[in-house]
Amino acid sequence: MYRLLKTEINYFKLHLSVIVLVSLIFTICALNNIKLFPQIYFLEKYFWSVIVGLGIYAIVFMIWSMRKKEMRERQHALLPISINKLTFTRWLFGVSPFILVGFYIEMLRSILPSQQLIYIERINGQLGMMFIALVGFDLVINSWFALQSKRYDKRLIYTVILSIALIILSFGVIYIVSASIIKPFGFGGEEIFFFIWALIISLVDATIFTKRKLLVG
Amino acid sequence: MILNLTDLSEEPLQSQIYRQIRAMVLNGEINSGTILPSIRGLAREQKVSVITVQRGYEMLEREGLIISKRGKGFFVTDVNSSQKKQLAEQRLIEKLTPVIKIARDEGMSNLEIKNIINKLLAGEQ
Amino acid sequence: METAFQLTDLTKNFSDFRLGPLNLNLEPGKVLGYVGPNGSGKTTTMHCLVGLIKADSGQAEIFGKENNPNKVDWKFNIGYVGDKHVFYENWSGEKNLKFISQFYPDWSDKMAQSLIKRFELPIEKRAKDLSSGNRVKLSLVQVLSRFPKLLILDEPTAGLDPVVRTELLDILFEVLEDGERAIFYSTHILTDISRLADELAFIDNGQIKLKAPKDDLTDNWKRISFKLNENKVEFDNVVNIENEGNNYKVISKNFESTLQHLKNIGAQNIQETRMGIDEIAVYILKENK
Repeated sequence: MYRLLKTEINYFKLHLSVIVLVSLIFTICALNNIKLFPQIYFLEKYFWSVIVGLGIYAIVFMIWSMRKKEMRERQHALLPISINKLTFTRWLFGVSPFILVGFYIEMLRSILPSQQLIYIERINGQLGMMFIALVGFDLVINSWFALQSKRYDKRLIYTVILSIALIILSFGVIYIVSASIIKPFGFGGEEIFFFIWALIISLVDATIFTKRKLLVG
Repeated sequence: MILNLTDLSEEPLQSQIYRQIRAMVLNGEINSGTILPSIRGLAREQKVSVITVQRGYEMLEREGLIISKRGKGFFVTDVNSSQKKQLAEQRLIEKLTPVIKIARDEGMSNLEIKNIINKLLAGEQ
Repeated sequence: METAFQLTDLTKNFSDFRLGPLNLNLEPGKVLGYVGPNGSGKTTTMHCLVGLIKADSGQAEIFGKENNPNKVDWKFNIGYVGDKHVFYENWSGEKNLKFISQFYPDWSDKMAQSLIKRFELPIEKRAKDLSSGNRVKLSLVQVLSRFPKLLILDEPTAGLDPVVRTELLDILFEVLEDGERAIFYSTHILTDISRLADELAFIDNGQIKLKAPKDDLTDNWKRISFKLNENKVEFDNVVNIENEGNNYKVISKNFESTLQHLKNIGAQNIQETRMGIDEIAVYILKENK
């Protein structure tokens, strides 16, 4: 299990180091109050949430589509490792980029002076949404293979499109609901709900993964 | 052990194994008490399946030419020369009978057949 | 007696294909060839056996252990070279072998090195740059270097040139010399590798039509020619009849019984020839279609 995780990290070290690099550049800018777009407040406000949120999403997406292309599930399913351990490794490898970066951003928030919080605002909201999108997508695929014995067909594509729409719709709902719960208590961290939701979905996803009927890739 | 097996012959592989080892035993090329190669060993050497060799050995065993000792393998039995001769004669009769029948069917007399056999034997030497 | 593998009433339904119920087994030390046309269910059977597909019902056992996805000791006993060869594509063959080796205590680097040499495998190349033949070879090295007791090979010679096929055949015979080990391989054409098989199982449309020792098939199936003065279309145990006037040529699936029958009905000039196993396979798969 540990060996498998180590192998995956090693294999995708280039991808993963881009995540670290982006986080590092962001940290330098935030700590030193470096303004990249001093003239345009709007750009300054949203730049990092888009770069960090979408950037990490893009990289994690690349990693997982490469795993898919190389039929990693099949490759690993043939190893003498139980499906439970395999699932746990897969889950850990999937969620950790989001959890670690999310946690890191929260740490920064706690030490950053208030006038520099412009950097932090919305990053975790964006990241959390991307997190949900990714685990939601994976959940759809795994549920398909847990229920269906057929390989791909058109219905899978429709299901995926429909679920993406549902996932995007849920962002708004989650935001409004969580904001209304949290606001009275005076917090500002609605985005934490995105992470909680994503984690719940990812756990359901992992459970369903162990029930897959097809691991042929 | 050098055997010459072919897929192209009418004779099944197991019979080829049987016939060729039998010849070696009867003409004294392999002495009594000699251990034959293991079934798997011979199968690998000759690139045939295990069952094929096993069946060839079984045919030899049935004739009493070899004996299997549990855990040790197959040994050539102590066949004395008169027995060997008898087995060889028996084979010759088996093989010649249909040939003679064909020759007769095609209108040859006993004398003519004998003459041809004699000619062949003389020519070989 | 313990079997190398045992499938009991195994079924798997796809929307467009139904496999089984399958009953199939293999004794240790034996080689079973699995013969059938493309799409007949050979690959799916193997996927069920190695745990890539969960069967709908029935059981699959490997050396007496059920192929449970959570109790995986059975996996040490199987070496599967499948329909697809999966690697860490951006890594060299060497690095891929290193990855695999850490999961198997029986792994032998010495064996791996000797196989690489025999196959002339360019081990330093990235997996994705390997030719399809070399990908098969890399898969074989991955599997053979850890000495599994049951080899499951899905069309192992497909994509290999004749020289490598012969080398592979040599290696598989070596594998068998240790009397415990068994091989289950599939093929849609019976080629050189059929010499290896002790038994053949024929599958068509998800159903096993026949399983028999190969030598029985080549002993029982014969092409028989004869003369017969009456016009007859029914013969005992015959699957194919050709005739020109009184001259007949038939294919018998049970030579002794057909011969007896022909003698009884007064056939003349009876002559038989043996058939190649590839030819026999064609008739077995064609029969009762």
